[in-house]
Amino acid sequence: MAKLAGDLSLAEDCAQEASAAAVEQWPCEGLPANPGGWVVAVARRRALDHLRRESARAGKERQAVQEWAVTDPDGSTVAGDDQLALLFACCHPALNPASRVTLTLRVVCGLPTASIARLLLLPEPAIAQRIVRAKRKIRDAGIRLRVPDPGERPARLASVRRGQGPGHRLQQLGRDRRVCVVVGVDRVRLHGGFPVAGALPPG
Amino acid sequence: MKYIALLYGEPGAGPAPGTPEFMEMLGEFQSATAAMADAGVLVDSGPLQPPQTATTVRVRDGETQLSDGPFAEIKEQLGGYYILDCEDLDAALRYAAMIPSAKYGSVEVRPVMVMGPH
Repeated sequence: MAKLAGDLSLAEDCAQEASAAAVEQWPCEGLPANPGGWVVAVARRRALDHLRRESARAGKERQAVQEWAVTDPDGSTVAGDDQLALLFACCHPALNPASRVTLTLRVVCGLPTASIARLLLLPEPAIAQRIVRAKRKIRDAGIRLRVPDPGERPARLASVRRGQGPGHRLQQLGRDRRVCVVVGVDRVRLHGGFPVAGALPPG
Repeated sequence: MKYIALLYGEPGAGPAPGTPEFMEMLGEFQSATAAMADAGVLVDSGPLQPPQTATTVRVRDGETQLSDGPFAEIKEQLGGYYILDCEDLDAALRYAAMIPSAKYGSVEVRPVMVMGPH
């Protein structure tokens, strides 16, 4: 979603709208065959509508339509590379390390701002501000949500690791997710046979 | 997406003019510029005359005031620029790292704001 929208705030808004639509429609029309895919498809449609309206942002719509074209018809391409692309964007070396860990907890692990504030022992407004700034930088500086090419991966993985930082006693955040971030041991484990898993040095 | 790469360096940083190292650095500038041009991302580029040649313009209460010298006296001086049209920040940063100023000083990469239709 975020990859399609190129803007994390827009992606979150559209995902919320799609979830709201599901709450309205499913009780009347019954559960769709692929509920997850349904929500993603609706959210994508909302994002595309928004991007069309925002056509002043040159080239975005064209890019969005291209991405749309390569998506499965049932919209089921939600996990895997997309989540990894999110992780790499949240830990982009052009963001400062404090922003990387905050944004990863928010966007990849889905923690609410209040929980992040408690975990990082910082006031909630500071965390909220940090998230807003980081999202704005991703959007305005043109940080693309993509999995880095093989040549770039060692450097980018180092940046992901630094983004997590040592000392936070967070164990297996998002245990049920395919991307499992283990912060306390200063490293990131990528589970589930992701293409970059082989690029991770052992240990 | 357009980016401007601003080339900063302290006076006297890098090889002195007339030395073989200086010629080598010029060669590196040329090959970096050629790589950007070949990739079709180079919009414009150029070295700047030193800050002593700068004139700063301010308009206050409708009156134009001129002062001799740069806007801010800082240790690192703006020495040149590249304007690049790249697909994303990663591409712009890769080209920025090819500019010798990154080795002897620093290169600041800033996205150029896209203005909507008026």
